[in-house]
Amino acid sequence: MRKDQTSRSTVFLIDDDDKIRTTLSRALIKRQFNVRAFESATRFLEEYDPAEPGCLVLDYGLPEMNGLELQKVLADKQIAIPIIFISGHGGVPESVQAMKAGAVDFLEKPFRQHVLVDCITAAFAADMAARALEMDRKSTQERFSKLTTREREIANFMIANPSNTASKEVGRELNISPRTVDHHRARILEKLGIHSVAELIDLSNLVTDLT
Amino acid sequence: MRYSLGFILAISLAGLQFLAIIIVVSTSFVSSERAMLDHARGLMRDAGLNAVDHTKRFLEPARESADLASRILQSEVVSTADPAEMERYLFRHLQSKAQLSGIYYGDEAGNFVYVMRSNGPGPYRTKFVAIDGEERTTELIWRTEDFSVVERVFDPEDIFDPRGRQWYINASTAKAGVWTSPYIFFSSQQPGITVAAPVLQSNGALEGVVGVDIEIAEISEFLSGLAIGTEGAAIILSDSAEVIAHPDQTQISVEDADGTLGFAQIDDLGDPIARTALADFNPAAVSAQGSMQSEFAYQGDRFMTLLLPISGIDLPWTIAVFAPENDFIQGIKDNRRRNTWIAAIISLVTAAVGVLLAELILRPVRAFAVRTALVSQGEVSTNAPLPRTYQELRKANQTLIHEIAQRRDADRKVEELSRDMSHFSRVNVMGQMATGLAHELSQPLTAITQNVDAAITVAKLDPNPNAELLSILTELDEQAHQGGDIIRALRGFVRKDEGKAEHFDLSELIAQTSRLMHNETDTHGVTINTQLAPLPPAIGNRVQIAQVLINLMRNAVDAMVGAASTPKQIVITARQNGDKIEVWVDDTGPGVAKDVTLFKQFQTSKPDGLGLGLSISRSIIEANAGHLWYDRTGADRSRFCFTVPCETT
Repeated sequence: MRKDQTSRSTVFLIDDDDKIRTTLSRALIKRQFNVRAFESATRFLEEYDPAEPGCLVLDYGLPEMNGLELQKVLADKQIAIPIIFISGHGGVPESVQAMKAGAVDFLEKPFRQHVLVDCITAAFAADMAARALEMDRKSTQERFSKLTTREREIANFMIANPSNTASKEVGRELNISPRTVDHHRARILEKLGIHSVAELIDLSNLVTDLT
Repeated sequence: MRYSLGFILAISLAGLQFLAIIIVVSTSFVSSERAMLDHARGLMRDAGLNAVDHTKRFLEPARESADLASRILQSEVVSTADPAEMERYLFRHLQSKAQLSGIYYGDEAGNFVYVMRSNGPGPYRTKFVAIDGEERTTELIWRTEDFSVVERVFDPEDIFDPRGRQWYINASTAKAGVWTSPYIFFSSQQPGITVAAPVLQSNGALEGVVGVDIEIAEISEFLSGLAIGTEGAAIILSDSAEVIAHPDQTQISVEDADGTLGFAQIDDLGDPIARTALADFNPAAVSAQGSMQSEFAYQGDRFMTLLLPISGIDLPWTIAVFAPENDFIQGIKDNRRRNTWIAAIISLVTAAVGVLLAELILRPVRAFAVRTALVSQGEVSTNAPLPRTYQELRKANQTLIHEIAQRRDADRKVEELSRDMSHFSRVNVMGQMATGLAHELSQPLTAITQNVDAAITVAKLDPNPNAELLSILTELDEQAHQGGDIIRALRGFVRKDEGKAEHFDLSELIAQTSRLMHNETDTHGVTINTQLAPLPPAIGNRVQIAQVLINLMRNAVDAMVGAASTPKQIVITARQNGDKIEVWVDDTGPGVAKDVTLFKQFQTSKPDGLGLGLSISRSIIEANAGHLWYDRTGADRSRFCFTVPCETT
């Protein structure tokens, strides 16, 4: 499981102290993690591809752009990479601020390695889940986009009124015959690769815009 | 201003007053002096003309008498052949003309009839000289007013011959009426003059000459009665510069060397002023010009002279009038002196009034000045009632009180800030040292734990792991973490209340911290300028931000003094940038070398520095949700920048 994850995900380490960068990278690499280290937030932003899965191990007290600022920049860019803060200053207020802004964890240096590893593992899992969800959302969206206007109209009606999904009622509402509704319903289920209207309603939660 | 207002006022008032009076007095003096001198000349001319007129009137009867007698004798109304008849006629004539002293007739034969006033046995005396061939008879008869004889004597000794006398010769030569030169009468010893008129026969030949004597002492009496000023005098001079009339008659006649009496010359006069006045007397010029005016000075006094010819009666005489100018203008001079004194006294009085006035004017000003001084020293409350003073000062007072209140308020705020800051830095430096140490130690400790972890991982990879090595590494890991725990404990222990964020005026704070730096900047000749855009209220801990400003300014001063830069200038700029205020602290120092790591704790370029200033500043700014950095872009300055959150509208 870990092997699988580590082979796909990367730990992006940002710390201005080269001793920390060297030793932390080495220790994680020894533990079979993919590690890429950066000396500043700017360098990271220059080189990072959001498509790469992984998590960020971010020093809080960076010069120029500090950890919190980077967190904000990433949020603004809608890059959802999980962030683990590490800080030599400790500081409850800082950690509270970081966590509020969506950080996975806030570790005071020196931290126990298993804590960091657990955090990274959890972050990877969260990242993967998020990416999978995103993928599902995208494919569902894609499938929905294959529906014709009439089919989308019928699907929307059924999603909006889960208790009135009988063909007769849908037909009366949309002023078409129940048979035609039946025909469209079969096409919708086929196109979306599902077997029931209940599944359609579940799917609709994944996508934001159906129209 | 070197002189007091009172002094200036007094001097100005007195000076202006004095000047005004002197100008008025002197102009009126000059004009009145001129007028008076003109008037004086008029007076002198009047006196001179008066004397001329009088002289002419005085002498006219003598001439008329001579003419009348000559006509009567010539027309044979009275026969020249009858001495007795002639005597009666001459007697009656003399009796009727009081000013004549004698009248007489001499003929070509040497006969002579002479009637004159006498002091002898009778009031009149007649002298007969009868020539009969070689025989000569001289008879003297004294008569009373009614022509009766008092005494009759013969004078055989007498040798008088009219034909040899000057009056006879002149009249016979001119065949007309003539005046003789004046002379001193032998008998009366009085000055006199004779007018003679010829008696001609029908064929034009001379028969005889009538003569009339008139004493001119009366003219001198008239002159003495003439008023010309108080010291002026008039004298009459003949064409040979003899003094023939003088207010003092005794001056006229002098005894000649041969014992006879003659007229005084100008040089014989006892009066030196008259001598000076007439030194250049030139009768010809006077009669040619009609009248002559001149001035002269004698012993410092000025005199005026007027010379007038006596015209109309063929007499070559001149009337000289002279008088000291002071006779006429002494009053004016006295007046001027008096006025000058009055001017001086008025000026002194005015000066005194000026001093009093200035004192009066100044009293409220002085009271105000004293009060202002006391207020500014804080000894009198600004609310204390204002002394009675001027409206202008009342306004100035309001401004001043306002200013003082503002300044005191500013001083109080700066003092408060200083107090708060010293408290803050006392508490804070300890904490900063601790947190700084904690941070510094946490880095190597982290490196140790990472290396231990790597080592353990590597050791475990061995199919036959060295248990002892693993145990040592695990212990090492544990000990490093114990170190970390201690640091955490220390950090927790010193972590103190960071203070609450508040809204504050950053511009005001910059001004206040600049003032706090004055002592240091003044000592080192550093100037601080601020360029502050209008700023919204900043959000943060005011005292902490002040500490950062002080730290940055102090660094700037140290850098410029260390490098002996010129000029030494700090410029603080603040402007809003979105939800932050950006502050630049620029200095004209050498800047920070490229290889220096800024903001690192315990690193310093100062010989006596802790190396905490910049790192504390940065942590303070970051604790206040701001950012502190060094801007390397400027070539001619060194710039530290920081941001502070602010209100956005």
